[in-house]
Formats: sequence, structure tokens, C-alpha cells
Amino acid sequence: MSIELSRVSYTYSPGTVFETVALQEINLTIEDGEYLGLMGKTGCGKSTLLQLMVGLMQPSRGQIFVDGKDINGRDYVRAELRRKIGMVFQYPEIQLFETSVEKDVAFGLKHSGLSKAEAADNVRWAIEIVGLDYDKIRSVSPFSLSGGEKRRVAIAGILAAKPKILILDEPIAGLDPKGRDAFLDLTQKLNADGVTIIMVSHNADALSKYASRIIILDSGRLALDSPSKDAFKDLARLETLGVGVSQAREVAHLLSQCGFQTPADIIRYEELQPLLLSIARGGHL
Amino acid sequence: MPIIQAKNLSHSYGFEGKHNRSIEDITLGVKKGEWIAILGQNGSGKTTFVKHINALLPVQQGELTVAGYDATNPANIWAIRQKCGMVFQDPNNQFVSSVIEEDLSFGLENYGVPQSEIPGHVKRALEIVGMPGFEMKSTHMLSGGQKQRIAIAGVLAINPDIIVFDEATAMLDPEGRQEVIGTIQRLHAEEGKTIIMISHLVEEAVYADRVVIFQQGRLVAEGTPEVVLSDVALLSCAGLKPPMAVRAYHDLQSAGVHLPTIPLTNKALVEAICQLN
Amino acid sequence: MKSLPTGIFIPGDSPIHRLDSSIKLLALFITVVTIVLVNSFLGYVIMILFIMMIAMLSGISLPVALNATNKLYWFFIIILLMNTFFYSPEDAWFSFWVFTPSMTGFTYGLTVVLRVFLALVISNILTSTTPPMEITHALEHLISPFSYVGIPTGQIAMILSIAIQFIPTLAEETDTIRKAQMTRGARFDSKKITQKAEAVLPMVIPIFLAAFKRADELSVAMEARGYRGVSGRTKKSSRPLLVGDYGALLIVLLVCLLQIALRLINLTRTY
Repeated sequence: MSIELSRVSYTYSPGTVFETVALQEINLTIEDGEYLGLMGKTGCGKSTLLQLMVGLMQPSRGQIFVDGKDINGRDYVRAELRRKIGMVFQYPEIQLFETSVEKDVAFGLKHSGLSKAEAADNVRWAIEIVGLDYDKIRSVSPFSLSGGEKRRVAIAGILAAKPKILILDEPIAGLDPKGRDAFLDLTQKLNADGVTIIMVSHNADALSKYASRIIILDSGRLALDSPSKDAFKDLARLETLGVGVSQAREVAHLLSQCGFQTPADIIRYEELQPLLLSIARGGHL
Repeated sequence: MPIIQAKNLSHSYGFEGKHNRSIEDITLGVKKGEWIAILGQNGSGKTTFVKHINALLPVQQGELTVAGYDATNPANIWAIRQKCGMVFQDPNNQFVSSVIEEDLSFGLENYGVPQSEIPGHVKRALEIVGMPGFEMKSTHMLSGGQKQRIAIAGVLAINPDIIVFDEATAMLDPEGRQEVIGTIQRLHAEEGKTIIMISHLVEEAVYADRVVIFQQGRLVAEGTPEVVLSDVALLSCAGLKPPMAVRAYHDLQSAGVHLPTIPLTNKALVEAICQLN
Repeated sequence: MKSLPTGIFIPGDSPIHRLDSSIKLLALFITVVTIVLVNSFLGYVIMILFIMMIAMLSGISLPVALNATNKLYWFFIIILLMNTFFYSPEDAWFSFWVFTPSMTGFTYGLTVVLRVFLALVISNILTSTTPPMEITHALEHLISPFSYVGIPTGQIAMILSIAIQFIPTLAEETDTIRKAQMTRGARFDSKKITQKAEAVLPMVIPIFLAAFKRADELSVAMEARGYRGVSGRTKKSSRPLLVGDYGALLIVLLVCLLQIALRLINLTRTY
């Protein structure tokens, strides 16, 4: 399950006064099982990139291959793409419409070709994996749930198709800290089971903790593509790209300004803690 | 006398169930010019409580005075709303006109401010939020942070003493969030406004004078940020996470290193560590 | 990345911008009625020139003025084809199955398209040169006689104006919902009518719920800002009408009378 973008460009309203170039010459390969973080200022082209990957829009130039097949090719079957890739939009709870949680989660399986029993299994699995009690919640109306539960049901509705690639656009916006952690842990679990995760977020702490690779877009161009360990080294550059860094990286940076030697690849608290300790004990000047 | 005084305030939405977002027995006094941060999980009753301060919900049980007005008396609703403005989560759902000047005039017109005085108030409100000259611009062309600052200006135009922020940064990107927090800081420091700010980001509560924690409709803790935000057990009980600096402070302490004060921000943490050496 | 939504107010200081908003709104009504009255080639030429003149005076660029019709080309083509093939079976060139293409149908289709097109462009010019709340006040002013029979004209004007404000936001939201359901396997791009029909509910329910939620939040925000209906609000005393306002109204009325005269002359002929 790889995604490959080859010289992909996208222009909105070409040939009119409203012409805007959203993406320019993007070359990118995302391998099986990666956990990719996508960052950049609002309006840098992140959402456009995601929508191109799931085939909701077609590139103005360039090609996109999923598993080696051009998804905008003449004989490509779109249904195949829908089965392989799941996409969680920002505030996905807006998509809920059915009379019960079970029906809503099953919606995406209608045209999947799965048998009734298989579909039911998938629905149960999806509801349980997002941390809800299947037997309790299955026949409840999704609209009677709390905000956090609605979000989980909406995500279950995408997971039920068991996509091999999961694309998420700011999935933790508006969740409280507990909901955030629970959701991020879920993405990690799915990733461990082999699902490729592509997540757009402004939250550098979350991406530092979970993503293995970071990509930053700037005005439609690929500005940075590196393992997350190295992605946050150049703070001055990140500032111009409008990207924040994790708190651990910030502390390490502040310490280095105080004259302490700190490695520039500290991005998680677990990595920072031993360093803090040795500095505080005075053995690190 | 406190500008807001709630005494044994209770409210129930009249249906049973676990998502019945009611509040129970809330007692809280707020001094003029104070900045209160209200923290708590989604559904803990924060919004229900603050909607009382703006008289958007009637007092069912208990007492509440806002800016000297008794909120239990329905006759005071409009006077209270004039003294207490409110900024909401989704900036798009707060504008009545896409032309900024017209939107900012809305509140003033509601209170019958003479037409000749309106442009002056609008101009001043835009200056305070740092967007002078935006009168004729369209709201559709603004960034999220700018939209929220215009929403703040719309409230400021009628010159209230108290401004309530109901998760006003939740839908913004980090840049927009910083813009709004910066604006709130200015309102507090330079304009002397009383600020009530709902958030579930502990990092935002650091700037407040006092932090209040809600859990399942009850006020479970209040105190200075230093006291409340360093109480890891309390925070985790309310579904919140302490700032990273507090976590580091406790980890250092259990390893035998004692920092002189509990740092709430990364900057304070690094300063404290630097002073050790 | 952001482009102005169609019909949004564009600040300016053109003669059209400076006109009194009630006069402008009244002039729009008269112009639209006039457009419907036109039934001669000469009449259309006059109308097109008239609207072009207004567009030029307003200082709004042509692409922006035409923006309102941008996404409607398909609609126009369908109207044209429908009329051509079905309108007039009597003088059809030939008849095949249900199709009866005729010149009469074609010209009729063309006039319908032209009328819709011109009405959209002139309305777009009005909303581009008049701030939304001024349109509200103008509308309130124009329909105020109805308030004597107990109709809440102030509220109606406010509701209409706010509904118009929300169109860009809701359009964006509709697009997101459509995309979200498509990635979940809803079939909007399917050719089968049954599958298309099936896809309606997953769209309609979320759109309505989103609109209700926005309306609810907005009404709370309005209340918090002190809105309690129209009573007690600042009365907007509009500036006294100037010669230019009367002049503009006069010109529009003259164009209207001219078209009526042309129509009377042309009573027997129709294009």
C-alpha cells in the first residue's frame, strides 16, 4: 500500500481572475505502514494534498499512484481507492445522519461487497476499537451522544471499511486532553497493525510523539521532508514556515540558549527528562 | 464588592441521563479586573455556568449578581448583557454582517446608541484588538484569528466591564490562538476588563489570575495557577493534563532535585534549572 | 487561497456606491421587472447596454460582475436545449420521438437565459456596491408599509439579510459533507438513478443539522450582543435624498417606460 505523487501540481479556478496555485511540483512517496505527520500554515496546501490523495480532486498536472496504479488513469476503478483509503475530515461528526450508531457506522459498507455477517463483524470491531461499548450504544441515535462520542462514532464509520491507509485532517481539534490521548493512542494501535497513517495537525507535541516522518508544506511547495527526529532541528526555519515545535524541543532549545549543550533531536518528553536531570544535578555544563 | 457573585447556583436542563449538562451548587466570587480561567472536560458544566453570567440562561436555583445587578430578576437581563459580553467558539456563527463596520455597529444599535456616536466606538474597538482601518473589509477574507478578534471587537464596542470567552481559541490554529490570547492579555492589562475564560488547554490558563476547575457540574477546585495547575492528582481527576513544566518539576523532585518554585511555563522551568547551577 | 464569495460587498466610491440604498433596491426591482417585459431585439440591446453602463459606473471589474453566472453555464445550456427541443411542437423543423426542435423554441430559450443572466448580473452589482446591513435597512424601509397590518418587517429584513450572509459558509460546509460521504462510499458520481437517490439522505440530513446548529449559535450570539427585535434599536436616519438619487430613479423609470413602449409597438412580433 504505497502512495506515490509524481510532480503533482494543483491550481484553483485556472484561467480566471481567481486563479490560485495551491500545490506546485510535489514529489512524495509514502511507504506501507508509515506514520506521517503533515504540517504547515493554514492555506499552505495541506487540505488540497489530502483531497488529491483520496481522489476527490484531480491534479492539474502530475500523477498520483496508489499501489502502483494511477488513480486518475482511464481504467482505474474508483471503488478500489475508496476501499483502500479512509479519510477523516476536520470535525467528522458533521457526517452523521443515520437513526442508530450501528447503521451510521455500517453506511460505508453498503457497496463494499461484504456479506452481511462480515459487515456486522466489521461494524462491531470499529465501534469497539474507538473505545465505545457496542452492546450499549449500537441502537442509540448518534445525535443523542456527547461531542466526543459523536466524533468516535464518525471515525468508526470510516474504520469499518478497514482501510489500509487512514488520512486524518486535524482529527484532535476541539477534543479535551483525555479525548486527545485516547484518539492518538488509537491511531498508534492501528499503525502497529499495519495501517498507514497520514495526519495533518498543528499540534507539534502530538506529531513528535506519534509520527515517524514529518512533511512540511509552504505556499504549495514541499519545504521539508525528514524523519521526525530531525524535522524540528532548525527552529529559525520552522518559524518562517509557521510551524511550532514540541514542548520538549522548546525546553531543550531554551537550555542551549542558557549555555548548556543539548542535542537538537530531542522532541519527546521521555528524551528530555534524563537530560533535565543531569543538567539539574550540575554535571552538564 | 465582587463584580460577579454566584451563590449556590444550580441549573438542570430537565432531562435525566449522563449528558445532562447541568451545574450544581456553584459558589464563586470574581473581583473587578480579575482574570479567571475555567478548566474542565467537555460536558463538565463550564458553558452552562458562564451562560448565567451573561443572562443567557435564567437562574433556576441560587443567587447571582453581575455588575451590581441581580440576575434572578428578569428585568435586569439587558443591563447585565450590556455589562458582560461573550465571545463564542465558532467565529463564523457570530457575525450579522460580512462588512466589519456594520457587524461592530450591531451591538451598539441594539442599545440605541445614537448613530453619530457609533463610528467612534467602532474605531476604538478595532484599535484595541489591533486591527485599525478594517472597517470596510469583509469578514470572509479574514483568517480564523482575525475573525475572532473582530468578534471580540464587536463585544468591546459596547464597552462591557466583563468579557466571557467560551473556548474562543478551540477552533483556531496556533497562530490564531496566539493572536487571541495576546488580545485577551491586553484587554486585561490595559483596558482593565474582567475576563472569564473557558478552555481545556492548561497552557492558556497559566496567564490567568485564578484557575477554577469544573468536574461533572461541580466546582472542584479554585486557586492561583501555581497552586491548581501543579496539583497533578487534581488535574488528572478532572480529565486534564498538567503543563509539561509541572511534570518535569515533579520528576526532578522525585529524583532528589528540588527547584525553588513550581514552574508553569517552559521558560520558567529553564530559568529555575539555570539558577540551580 | 481565499477568493471573495459571489455577491459580497466590495468597498468603493463610485456613483453607484454613493446612491441611497433604498433607491438602489427600488431601482433593482424596477430593472428586473423591465427585463421581464422586454420582447424585442432592440429592447435586449438597450437593456444590455444599460446594465453594462451601470457596471462600468460601479467600478466593479467585469469578471466580478459576471461571477454570479459563472457556475450556471450548464443550467443555461439545459434551459436552451429544453426549449429548443420541446417548446413549440407546432412549427418544428422535424419531429423525432418526443423531440420537436424549433426556431421558436430556440429563441424563446435564448430569451429566458438572457433574462436570468441579466437579472443575476444586475443583482450582483447591487450586492457588490451596497453593504449588507444597508440592504437590510433599505428592505425594511421599502416593506415598512406592511408593518401597519402587523407584519414584523424589521425582523423579516434582518432574517433575509443574515440568511444571505450565511450562503458562502453553508456552501463550503455542503462541499465538505459531500466529500466526506463520498470517501465513505456514498455514490454521487454514480450514473444509476437509484444510487443517486440513495445518496440524498446522507447529504441532506447533515446539511440541515449543520444549518440549524449555526442558526442556533448565531441567535445566542445575537442575544448576547443585546438583540431583542427591532424595538429600541438605533434608528438609522439615512441621509436626505439628493438630486443624484432622484436622477438615477428617473433614468431607470425612463428605461422601463421605453421598454413598455417598445413592447406595445412590438405586440404582434416576438423574438
